[in-house]
Amino acid sequence: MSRHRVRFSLNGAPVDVTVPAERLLVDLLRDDLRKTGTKDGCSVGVCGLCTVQVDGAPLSACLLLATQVDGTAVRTVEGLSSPLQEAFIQEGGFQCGICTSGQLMAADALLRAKPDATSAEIADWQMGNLCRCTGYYGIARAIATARSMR
Amino acid sequence: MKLEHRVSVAAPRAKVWAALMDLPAAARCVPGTRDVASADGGVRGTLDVRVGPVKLALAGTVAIESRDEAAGTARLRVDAADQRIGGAVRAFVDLVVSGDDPTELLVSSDVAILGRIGELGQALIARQAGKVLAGFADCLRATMAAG
Amino acid sequence: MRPFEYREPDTLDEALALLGEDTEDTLVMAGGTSLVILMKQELIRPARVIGLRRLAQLRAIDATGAVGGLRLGALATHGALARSDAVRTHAPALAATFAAVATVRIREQATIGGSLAHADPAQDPPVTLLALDGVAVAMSKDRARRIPLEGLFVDVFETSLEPDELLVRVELPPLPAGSRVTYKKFLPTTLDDYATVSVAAVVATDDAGACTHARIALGGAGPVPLRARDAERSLLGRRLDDAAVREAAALAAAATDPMSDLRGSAEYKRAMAGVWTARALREVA
Repeated sequence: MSRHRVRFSLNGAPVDVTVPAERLLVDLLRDDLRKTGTKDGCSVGVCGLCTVQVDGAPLSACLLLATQVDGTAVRTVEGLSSPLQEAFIQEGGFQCGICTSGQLMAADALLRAKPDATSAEIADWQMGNLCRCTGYYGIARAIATARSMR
Repeated sequence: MKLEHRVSVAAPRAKVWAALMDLPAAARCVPGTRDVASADGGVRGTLDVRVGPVKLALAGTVAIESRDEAAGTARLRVDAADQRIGGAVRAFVDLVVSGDDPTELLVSSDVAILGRIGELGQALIARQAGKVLAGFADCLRATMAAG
Repeated sequence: MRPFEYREPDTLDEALALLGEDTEDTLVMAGGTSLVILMKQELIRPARVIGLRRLAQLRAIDATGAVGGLRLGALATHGALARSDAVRTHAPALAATFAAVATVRIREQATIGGSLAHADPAQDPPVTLLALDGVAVAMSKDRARRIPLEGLFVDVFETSLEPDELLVRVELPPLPAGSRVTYKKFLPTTLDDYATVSVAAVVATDDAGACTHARIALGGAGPVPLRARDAERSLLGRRLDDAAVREAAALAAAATDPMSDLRGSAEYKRAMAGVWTARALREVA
């Protein structure tokens, strides 16, 4: 019904779009902006597949209206450049890869806020990013390893 | 989903029975009903009810499937479709009237929730259904007391 | 999701004016975590949504100076509240309550005001806020009023807020000197879930160890977060020994009216309310 101009930075580059009020951020990113690294899993903000960073905070893109990021800095996995990525490869932090974007975006947000996060803090923070393949040990090792790779 | 509600009415049994069998009048005693009209031996109407954050508008019919005045029992059939979020409610409601001033009324409902309404969860639906029944019971009691 | 009209007022006055002009089929969005899910499922289909994200003044978290109370803006996120020095100073257990909500993503988006207005009895923050004698401040175009939290929650997902009212902040009075506060969340399944039952307890004792102040609030134990007043009264003037704790726990369990659902039967939740009330009281004894 109503359409809105949404201006934000995406991975450092300016975005200026006009969208209907009901447009979800995850659909804007994937379908309109062709940034398909962010996945749509459970659609109710539980699984973590759609984790992006908005002004540094990890958020569920499936629970955000596009209008809610107007004036913010959004980061998706496409814009990630972090020792985490090498650590995930090294430590077997992924198998099928579907949860990986979300795991990385969440972990990156943590290590930016708390470069010396303990294993317990890592586990607590990453608790909301579900994985069906790895059993989580590879993910936890990868994030712990990335800490010392900074 | 099975629900049960009992109410004691300070009125003669015959009067309570008559009130229950007058479906249009009884329907108006259910809180949240509107547009009540007779239809095919039963009654048609819409029940506005909130279940949690969701508003429903259940539009349908209530008909008497069977009745036995001597035994004081009757079975009603309820068929309603939600006009707002979709889905339907079907129920058999068994009425048992016993005693005589005070008259005891037992309302036993066997309710089937179909479609989207089911997403609201049985606990919440049962709770709201119980409230509607309680409201009906209060209204019935008040109507009987008013003569 | 059905198309709707979205408005993002720049000031509180503008928001209240918008809300006041038409409440029909209008919903207010704070963080949006609950609202967006309901709208995606098409269980609610508002014609109009008023987004509050630009009302920066509603994010403020302040200790009320020398008085020792706390003022929490309705748009403060659970995450910000968990990290807040003011909140931690008032009661570490309150900060821990906010930190117990769901996952980090939800905590960074969902707000205390949205949580209270949503009125899900299994949520964490309302329970501790109730035990801390929290008062909600609600404003409409024409008036402001204070609503003690016990009077805010009417039924499952139902508050006493009028359609044209916005919850703007929660105020907590200073705690009695020497108060100990705890929040216990019982989740037998996954850690990101709502509580099966939860208990917040606040206790203060005199030099002889006799209880001078007691609050016990329960979550997931009824249609609304509730205070176990009989249990509280049973503790006053007594030492919090085993017998006192057991008695209070039994009274708390008796005060519950839980709904059977996926997290447990009503009987189970009632029993757990007793168990966890005892654990909470032993911690603050």
